Amino acid sequence: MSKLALLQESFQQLVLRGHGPAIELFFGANAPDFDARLLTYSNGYRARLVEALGVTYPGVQTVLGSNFESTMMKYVEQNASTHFSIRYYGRDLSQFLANERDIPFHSMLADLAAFEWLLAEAFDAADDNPVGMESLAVVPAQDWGEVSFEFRGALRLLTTHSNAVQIWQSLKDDGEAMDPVCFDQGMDWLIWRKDLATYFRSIEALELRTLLAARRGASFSQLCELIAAETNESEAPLKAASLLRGWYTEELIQAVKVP
Amino acid sequence: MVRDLGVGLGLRPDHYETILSERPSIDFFEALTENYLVPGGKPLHYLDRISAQYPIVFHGVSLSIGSTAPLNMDYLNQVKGLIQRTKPLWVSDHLCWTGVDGTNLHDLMPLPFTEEALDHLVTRVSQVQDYLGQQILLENVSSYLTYQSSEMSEQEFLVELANRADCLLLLDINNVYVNSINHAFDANEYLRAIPSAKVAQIHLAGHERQGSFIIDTHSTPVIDEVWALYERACRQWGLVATLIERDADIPPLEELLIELDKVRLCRQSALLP
Repeated sequence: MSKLALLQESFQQLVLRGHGPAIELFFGANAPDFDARLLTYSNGYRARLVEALGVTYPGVQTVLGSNFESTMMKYVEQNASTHFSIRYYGRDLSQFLANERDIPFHSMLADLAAFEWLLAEAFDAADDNPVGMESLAVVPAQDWGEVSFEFRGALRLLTTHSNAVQIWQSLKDDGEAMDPVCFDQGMDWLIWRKDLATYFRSIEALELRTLLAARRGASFSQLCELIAAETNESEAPLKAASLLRGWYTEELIQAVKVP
Repeated sequence: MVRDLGVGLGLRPDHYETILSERPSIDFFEALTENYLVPGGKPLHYLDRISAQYPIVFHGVSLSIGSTAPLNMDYLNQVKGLIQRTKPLWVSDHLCWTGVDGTNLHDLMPLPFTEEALDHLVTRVSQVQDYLGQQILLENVSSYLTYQSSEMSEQEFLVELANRADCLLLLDINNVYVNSINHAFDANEYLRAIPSAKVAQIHLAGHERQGSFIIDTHSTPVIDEVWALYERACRQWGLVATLIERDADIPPLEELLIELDKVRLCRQSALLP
């Protein structure tokens, strides 16, 4: 290992651990301000990552309040940043919170973190353009059953087992968090971007299954079959058309594929 | 000879809408490269709109040109894509390392001023310039600790690198001042050593005192001592593209425009006999 590599390795350990033999690399180890200078690097590293987590997870920050910094510091100690952009730091926060059983309402916080991460993903997801209902007008009647749909890249799905999303909304609306509640049964959420704004809404089980099938490339007739298996066969095409109309209105679809 | 772009400002999301609605008199904007290395959405939307109306340069923090870890080719590839999309007038980063072993400290870690580091840098700068197909600018960084292993002064290191690697320099006058206090050297002597042909851009920023040393926070207005150094630099180097850089406690645009006027005054007075 070169001298430069050794120096960088030692200095990095000093930053990550806050102590180490790298002190010998520098002049002035006995100077009164040496520790303060050293802390500029090691404390600065932690402060930057905690700040970045606050930017990505404002809801988690508000709910944790005065405990946010200590909780995030624990995350920082366990998770070095590996991406060139600090924007992507904190990807595993939801999983971390799910495992932190000593934190009150940690399951709700894990849901909240997962929700805020997906909002961030939708915010700067790849640009693509929605197509409107008119894209169906060119489909010949005999091909309708075989038509399938391509969804936009920003679309995200989430299942929560708490009222985390409602808490996020209440924080946004009036700055007050609702009391946390956990549910045995999951609630499903759809997150997407329309123009530059990020949206979300809850999604019922049948719509979710239909959407998942459509995203996998199922044709319109296959979507009708899926719906028919769970509802009334005669109403299935109408229900499928209604869901489709909603997806178009919400600008979730970017292409129609005609075989 | 690098074109003097005039007087510019660091592009920050807080100012996007004001820039587009009020079209302030700013000669160029410097965009933080990493902020736009995202797939899409608002950041690129605003960058596209603002770059259609103003000259843009890119300023990165993650090149890690001095690291002994391999160059991050995924990063460079994304930077190259962004360059092709936005066509900035130039691209800069910092003369530092940001991590090894796959870790990113998200800090501008100082390099020892050694022949070994120079050799390492010259090779890496050439690789980056070849890959991007253009000269890059490297910026002097603030530091708080002094390496025992350094074999030359910071300014000697900077000039030697610029000459041997055929890159350009982005001189942060505030960082020169900060380091002159933190490492007890003469800032004027430092500036005298830098040849004008190598200086393509200047940064001006504020800092915070931390007892006996200074932390480069970019959170406050430029102080008088740094303005004095800047005036001296203008007289020495002539007119060089100059940017006010604010990264924290970002004030309204109007406040920064006042600082930009001060930059203009300095540049004008430097032209007087």
